[in-house]
Amino acid sequence: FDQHLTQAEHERLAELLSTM
Amino acid sequence: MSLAEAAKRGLAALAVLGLRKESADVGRGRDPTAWRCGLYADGGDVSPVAFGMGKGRPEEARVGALFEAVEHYLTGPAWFDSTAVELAGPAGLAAGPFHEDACAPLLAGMPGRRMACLRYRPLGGQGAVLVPLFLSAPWYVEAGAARLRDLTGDDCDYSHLVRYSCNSGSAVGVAASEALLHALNEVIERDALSLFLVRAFLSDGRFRPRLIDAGTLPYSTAQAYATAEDVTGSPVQLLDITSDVGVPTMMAYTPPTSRHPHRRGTGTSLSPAYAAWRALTELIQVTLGESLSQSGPRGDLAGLAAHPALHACGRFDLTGLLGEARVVAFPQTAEAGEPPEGQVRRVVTMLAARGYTGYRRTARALACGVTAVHVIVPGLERFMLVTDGNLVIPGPRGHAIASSE
Repeated sequence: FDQHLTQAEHERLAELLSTM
Repeated sequence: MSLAEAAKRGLAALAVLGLRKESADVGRGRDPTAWRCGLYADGGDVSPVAFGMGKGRPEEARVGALFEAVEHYLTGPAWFDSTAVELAGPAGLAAGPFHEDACAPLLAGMPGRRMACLRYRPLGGQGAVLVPLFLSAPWYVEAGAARLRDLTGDDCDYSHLVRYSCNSGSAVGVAASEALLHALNEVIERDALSLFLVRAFLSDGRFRPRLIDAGTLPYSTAQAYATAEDVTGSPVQLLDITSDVGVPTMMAYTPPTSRHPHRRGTGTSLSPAYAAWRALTELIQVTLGESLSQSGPRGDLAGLAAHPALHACGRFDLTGLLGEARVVAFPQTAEAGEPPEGQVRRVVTMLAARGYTGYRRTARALACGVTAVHVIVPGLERFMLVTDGNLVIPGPRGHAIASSE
């Protein structure tokens, strides 16, 4: 040195993981 | 400037601010070690108004802890000036200098129209920009700061943006140039760590980290390396994680176990030896600091559980990857003690060569010279927040790295 993604973040993460 | 003179300026800052300090050596005589420092209002409450830790040789760590505590005080809510705030529409910010920022998709879709910003000046070049306050001030987005947000006229909902808020890029120095150098190096360091995470856990598996051969370390670095292994009770790996920006960045690392999470320290400096020194002494500091932590849920990765790839980033277990590492000799370079002003110019030039512009804001400049600044470089990554348990995703820079590996 309370956590859920917004729709826009979900889409970005999915796009990123599609490269793996 | 000598450490003794820096210590004098630090004490002068406390006198101006009406504060007193309580310090202690957390390493109990080790060298290098870590010190902690709490600041208290003269004749005031028994609770500290700020806290800092320092690392390095004993005197270096003692003075460093004082300066970090002063930094946290000067960049915290106590010195917040609501009259300096300028309001801007989140959508406009997302379309402007922050269009390459990881939080741009959140800004673009926000219903609020008035987001509190502060004006930053470019480091080289022209054209000031407005920077959202939440990016550098986690205290501003907390429930207890609702009155401050009302005071500024801010009508934005920070319930998601809070995940992207951290004080990284804040620094203090005996003069503005020293503070700027620390802040710039910190921003570059966090970006390099973020890109390392992307390469290690979000790319297709061909990444081979650069592992420093411990047998090639200079003497003082080897001394810190040995102390780090003693303090952590674990073999330490020193990795060169320098990014395309090119400012040497090192990470000292031990893997997670069933008893504790991974431990790491990072350092960035034009001097590779100093970068390694900062990384190793930071690992010593965070390990010794575990006994002081009152962080509650921080570092709890439960919030990442729904996203296995992000959870892997948060856990940061490099055990398998280190088996594929390229072992390299420690970079041998001529070490010249260049003044901070010259180093700032060189780092700004290196950022510009990669297409990045740094922006600065002076949080507070005291008459004794002690100055606190915040620096932001739009486009550089802060994805390392995932290792705190924060649910964040990389921005376009991280995405480009993931798809190019």
